[in-house]
Amino acid sequence: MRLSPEQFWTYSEWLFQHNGLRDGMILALALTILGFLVGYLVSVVNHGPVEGFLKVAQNIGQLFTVDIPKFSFRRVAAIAGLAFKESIRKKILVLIGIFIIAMMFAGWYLDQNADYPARLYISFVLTATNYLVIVLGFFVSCFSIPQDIKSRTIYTIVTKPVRPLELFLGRVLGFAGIGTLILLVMGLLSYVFVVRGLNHEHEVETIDANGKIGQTTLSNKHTHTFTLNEEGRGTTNEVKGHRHIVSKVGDRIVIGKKIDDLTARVPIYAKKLEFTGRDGEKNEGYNVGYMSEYQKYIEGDSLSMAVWEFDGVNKDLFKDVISYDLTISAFRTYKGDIVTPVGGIIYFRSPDEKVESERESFKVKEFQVDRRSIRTKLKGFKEGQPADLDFFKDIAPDGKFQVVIRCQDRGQYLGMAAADLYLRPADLQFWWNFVKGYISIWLQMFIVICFGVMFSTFLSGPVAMIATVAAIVLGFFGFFVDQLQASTTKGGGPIESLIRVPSQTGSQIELDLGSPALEEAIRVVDTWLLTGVAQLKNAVPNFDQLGTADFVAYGTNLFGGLLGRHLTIALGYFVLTSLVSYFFLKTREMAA
Amino acid sequence: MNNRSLTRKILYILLIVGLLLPLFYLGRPPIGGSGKIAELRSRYAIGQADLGKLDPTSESMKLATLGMRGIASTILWLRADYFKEEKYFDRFSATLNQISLLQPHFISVWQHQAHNLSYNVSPEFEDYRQRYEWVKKGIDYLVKGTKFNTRKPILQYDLGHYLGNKLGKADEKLQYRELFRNDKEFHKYFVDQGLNAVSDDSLGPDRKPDNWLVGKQWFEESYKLVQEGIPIKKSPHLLYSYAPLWQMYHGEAIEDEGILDERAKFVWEKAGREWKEYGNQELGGTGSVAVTLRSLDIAKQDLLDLKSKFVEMTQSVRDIVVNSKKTKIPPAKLEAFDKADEDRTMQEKMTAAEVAMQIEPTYQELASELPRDQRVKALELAADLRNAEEYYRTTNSLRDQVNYSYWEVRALAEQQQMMVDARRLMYEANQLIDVADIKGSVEKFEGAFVRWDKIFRYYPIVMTEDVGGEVLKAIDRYRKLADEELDERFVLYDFMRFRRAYDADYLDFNVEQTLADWKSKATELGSPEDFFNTPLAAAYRQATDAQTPSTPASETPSPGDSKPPMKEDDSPKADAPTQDAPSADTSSGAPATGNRPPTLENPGS
Repeated sequence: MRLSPEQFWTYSEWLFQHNGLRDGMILALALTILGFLVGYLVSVVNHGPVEGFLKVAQNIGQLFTVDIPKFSFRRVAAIAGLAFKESIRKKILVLIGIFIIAMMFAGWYLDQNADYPARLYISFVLTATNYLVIVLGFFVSCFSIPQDIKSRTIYTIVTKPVRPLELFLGRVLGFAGIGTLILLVMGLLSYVFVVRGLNHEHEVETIDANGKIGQTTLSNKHTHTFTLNEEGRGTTNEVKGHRHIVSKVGDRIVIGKKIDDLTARVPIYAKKLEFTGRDGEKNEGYNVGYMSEYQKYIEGDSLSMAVWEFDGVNKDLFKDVISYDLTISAFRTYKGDIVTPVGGIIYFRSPDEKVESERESFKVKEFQVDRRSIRTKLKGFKEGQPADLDFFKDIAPDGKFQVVIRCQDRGQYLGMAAADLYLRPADLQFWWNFVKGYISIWLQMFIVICFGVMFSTFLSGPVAMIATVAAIVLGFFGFFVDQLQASTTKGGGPIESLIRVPSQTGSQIELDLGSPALEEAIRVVDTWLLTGVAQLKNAVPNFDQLGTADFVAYGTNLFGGLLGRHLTIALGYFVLTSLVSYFFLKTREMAA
Repeated sequence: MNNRSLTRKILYILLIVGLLLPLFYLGRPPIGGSGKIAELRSRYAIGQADLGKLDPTSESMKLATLGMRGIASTILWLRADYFKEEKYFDRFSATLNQISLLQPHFISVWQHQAHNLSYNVSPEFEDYRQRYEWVKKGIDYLVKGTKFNTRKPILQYDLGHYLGNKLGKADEKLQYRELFRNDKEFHKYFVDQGLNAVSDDSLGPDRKPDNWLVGKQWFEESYKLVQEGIPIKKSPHLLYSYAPLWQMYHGEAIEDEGILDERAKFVWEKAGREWKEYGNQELGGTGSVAVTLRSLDIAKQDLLDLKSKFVEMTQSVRDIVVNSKKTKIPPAKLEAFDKADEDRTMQEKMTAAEVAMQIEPTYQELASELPRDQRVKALELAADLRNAEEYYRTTNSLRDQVNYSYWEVRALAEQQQMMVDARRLMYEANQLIDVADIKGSVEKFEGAFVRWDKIFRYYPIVMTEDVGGEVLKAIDRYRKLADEELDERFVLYDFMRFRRAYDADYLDFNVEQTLADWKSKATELGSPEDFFNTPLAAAYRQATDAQTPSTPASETPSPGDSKPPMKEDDSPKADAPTQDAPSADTSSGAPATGNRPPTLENPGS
């Protein structure tokens, strides 16, 4: 799983240290000014400069003097109820049937031989749910108001003392309500699907003469080996992302329930990861030639090292043992010993580097979670002298400490990112993480509904749907626009693409139209168009970032901070769309 | 108003019907000579059912994309690339499955992505067992492809390569082969998919499926399809070479793993037989005439016979044609041509060569110059001669491309007990290095080298490829162990010189000529039975039968002797096997002159 450091900021860090609040305020201000200007211009066209200004001022004034003070939750609830009923009348619950059918046939598409079936199952259910409820969101939201206007049933509402804001909120909450109901059913079905789909049992296939080492029977296309300790307890090896508890009951060895695949690790990440080069100089880590720069590498048998700096680690979370996980990778410049993985050493030290633990060797377990631990009472060195240490007294008295990793094998490299080493004080229940994943999906659906209802206040149904789809596409594929702008993706902008597609000119070939002036003109126009699209993209929510399915699928607790940020963003869009809708409904009312 | 609306609707219906009629005509079942599309589909066997398995998963997925299959598959390709780049390999694999469901008959998808899985993703994993699993995923992907595309032998051909090359030639080949042998689930999977991977033909010496032999079976599956008339974009001589080659690689692999007895000889005997069958097979050449690789000698003799007949027939007119052609050459050039070679300058030598080419008469010119009553026969002969030349040239070229001679000789050599013993001693020497028994290892190497010397003398071509490389590596290892530079007295000194020149392409060493000379000398050595059953070999057998590990071969230097195995002397002795007979007392002291191993002829000396 790829985690960037900004994903594990706490809510307050994001809001204050990393300027979430400031940027939000600036965006709100910019949009307010822009909204005012656009509203004024439209008003000028209709009413002339002076009267136009007065009309705009009047509308803004009414918002604060009439519509907000006289806002009625009862009316909102009534409209929401109607929207809810209307959705049910439109047979929106059929979606649940579609979802059930998708579940029934999901087995056809899910790779039974996958190394980590849990990830595939969870990703599938979350992604399927996500797409379905987004589709649901824009279908229910885009057509409602235009339909009312077309059938003139809107007059039965607007002739009542219903405020535009109430109309918008009622619709949004009503549609969100039906969405929530569907999401609840889907969530429940998904959970059962995942748990049942992964459930399996093994028996003992073979056991050695001492009754300690054995192998399980084949089940779900895999077997395990296991080793029992003197007390007759143990676990199997990890296969397909899980282990089984093994215990001796009387004379019988019982392969118990599986662990590790449906989990929610609660990681504590370091605040910073720094690298040193082969001569001990600070650097940004080596790039071994991969396109992806997520992980950086340290060189083996040199002074090159990776240092994670932890801060504010609460000692109460750990009793006798500090558990931590490693997910680092290896890069070989030569094959070397094929059987033995590349090795490294790891040690913990105080920030002033005067106290450090003994160095512990490890072998890389690539693309797996290497579960490790050290004791809080440990052996180490104080200012170079061997000493018995207490982790939270000697190494991290104030919760600050460093973890150092070096690669032992000459000419080989170890690769790591900030999130590839984390402390693991506890695991949460999987079901709760699953619920949080669904909350993320709910937020996306909510934003889509807000956009859909907003567009429907001033556009006809089909056009509102296209606008909403455009916002969703931009939200999901905005990164592609960035790549086109930065030329990291070849092929040019819209006009160039229109020429390339029929002329079958591949994106890697320079466009040659025989006229440099024409080519330049196309490039200029494309740049303008792309800049425009990029600005639009910045105004819509980044659905790609709002997706949190990976957290659930990879068994990492979805941080409260991240969920809080997503909630804040959703709230921001809710306020924005409410205001835009309010003014448009006001305008329509005036026109009527 | 209503009338206009009705008229418009009727018009629309008529237009729709009008458009549907030709569609119906073209698309209906091929009954009574109509149904053009169905007929074409049937003729080119491109109906869904003809292409391969009809899979509900694939069909429903195609339908679910509502005609936007192209867009969906493009997005999936982009996602697959992203997943691979960011090392989300699980998802990468899952995405590939989806792509193949959307485009099940797009062969490049199966080929490209299977390669991605087996060759590009697998090396990303540090643990060789994980790497093996990803190689398997690529193979599995191709197997699925064969089900969707039953008329695409290229997939079976690729499977043959993956099973052989990827599992048997990778750096991890020992581990991969071991994992494959014991992978019962994978064997069962092959059986379920219609390939009997547990039949006798697939089993190695330990009675477990061997990757090379299972790969060979996949090649044979592709041959079956090709022989049914399904085309494959591969040259026949290359395509059909793989099955017997895989048998040979199987032999090589089991020998590398220490199976050095009758079982190995049997594998090579079978390989030799299959290679011979392949050599007798009619293969498409560059022209219209089918070529058999083993017919080279006959082709050469035919060519020589025809040439001599033609020369005899046209001898009388040759000077006339040559003189006539000379008249068209500028005098200055002729002057250079007429000079004696030693009197020519460099420029004149080049000019003379050019003139010689220009005045050389063609068969046509010579035949045309003959009297009318002989001309027709001569022209026929000239045509035959050209065909014979073409046949010979093509056969030779195809043989070179598959290295036919090398493998033919290699299969023979590997069946010699002497070669099996040479390999076994080398294998044991390497094992002893691992347990730090330097003395024992040196002895084993020395025992091996004298045997290699004999093998190389009889089968010089064996020096050229992998075997020569392995022996050269063994010599390097031996040199380090014995801590001594090897001079011209070393039994494989000439081989060393040859092989280094062969590898590095030395300008001052004519590799081709040296090899040709050695081959020529080898033909004088008599039958292999006679050559390898010399007193040397007999004495050697007695020594090994007695199982005296410290003295593996009586003709080798004694354990205490730090000197490498020596040549008898530096003079060429191409055919003196009887001189190689070891004396009875060699095991206790330095090698006596009379029992030193035979020298390798050095044509240059």
